[in-house]
Amino acid sequence: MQLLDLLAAALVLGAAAAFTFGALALARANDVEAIYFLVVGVVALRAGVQLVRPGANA
Amino acid sequence: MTNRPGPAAGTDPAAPASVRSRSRRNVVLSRLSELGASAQAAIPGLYAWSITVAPAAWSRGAPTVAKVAAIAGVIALTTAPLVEGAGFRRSPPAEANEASAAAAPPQPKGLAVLSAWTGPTWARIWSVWGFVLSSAIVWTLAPSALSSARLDGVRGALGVVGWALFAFASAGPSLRADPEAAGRIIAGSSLKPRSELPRGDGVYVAAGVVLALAMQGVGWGVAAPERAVLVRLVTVVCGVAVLGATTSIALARHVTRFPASRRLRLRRSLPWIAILALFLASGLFLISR
Repeated sequence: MQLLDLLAAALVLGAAAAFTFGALALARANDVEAIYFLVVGVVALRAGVQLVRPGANA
Repeated sequence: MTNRPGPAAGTDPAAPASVRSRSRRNVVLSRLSELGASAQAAIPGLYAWSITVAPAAWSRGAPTVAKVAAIAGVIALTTAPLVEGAGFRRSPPAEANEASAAAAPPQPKGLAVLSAWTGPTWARIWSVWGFVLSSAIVWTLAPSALSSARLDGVRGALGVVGWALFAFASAGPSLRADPEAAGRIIAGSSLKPRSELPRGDGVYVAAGVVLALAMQGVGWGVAAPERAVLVRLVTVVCGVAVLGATTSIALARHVTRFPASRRLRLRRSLPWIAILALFLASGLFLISR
């Protein structure tokens, strides 16, 4: 397992945590905070998948 | 295909525990497969009885005769397998039939005639007609129990399904093991799977499932229904996204035809990491203000 794979796993874990925080904020009716955490989660998830994606195309 | 171990192999004390448990399972399955059609029909029949007949027989104002008829229906269902089994025990094996073809048994007389009313045909008559007639008697004696005002719609639909399954199981012959099937088995090497699940994939998927399930524990105490539905929707979508990401990571490990260089992978993910850093920094800035 390479360092980038570990980073990808950490990003996915972080994304899951951000999603959870977003859902908690949504339950508290704190919509701005919820949107912030959900967007952070989406970006972290996308970054994690891009890190481990094989292939020559960018 | 390989020869399966017979029940006798399961009694070998020297056999491994897994082989013995498999043999025991085979014995149980073979006993179940020997049950007749009436036994197989009795299960949906009892289900239909408990939903559509019993509530009517024991409803308020139903006469005692209705209860007796309902009990008779259950007796017909449960004793039909005995009638069928008695017929199988009474009929001698094929070799014995050939040997004693000349000396046919004498015809029974008097009450002994009842012992001749066994076998699959009589079991089916006893099961189907006994159950259907007793149910019809119950419904005739307590007609108000089936009115739409007293019968729940879902329960009525489930009762229809039960009766349909009973009819289907009663109409079809029971599936029995073919005694000649063992002769058609060709002994050889065990079958090999075309591909094997790569080691470690299960861990990735399990981690994704755990993360997705953990998200579902959030937001169950929300009072407003609209907000509660929104939270549920968001957590489900987030769970699916996390599960998809972990699956993608697991699958990416096996694509080795064009492995991306470390620099390419970093360059590809750099915009997303930059956006993420920007968001995190702005969040920290807003918190510190």
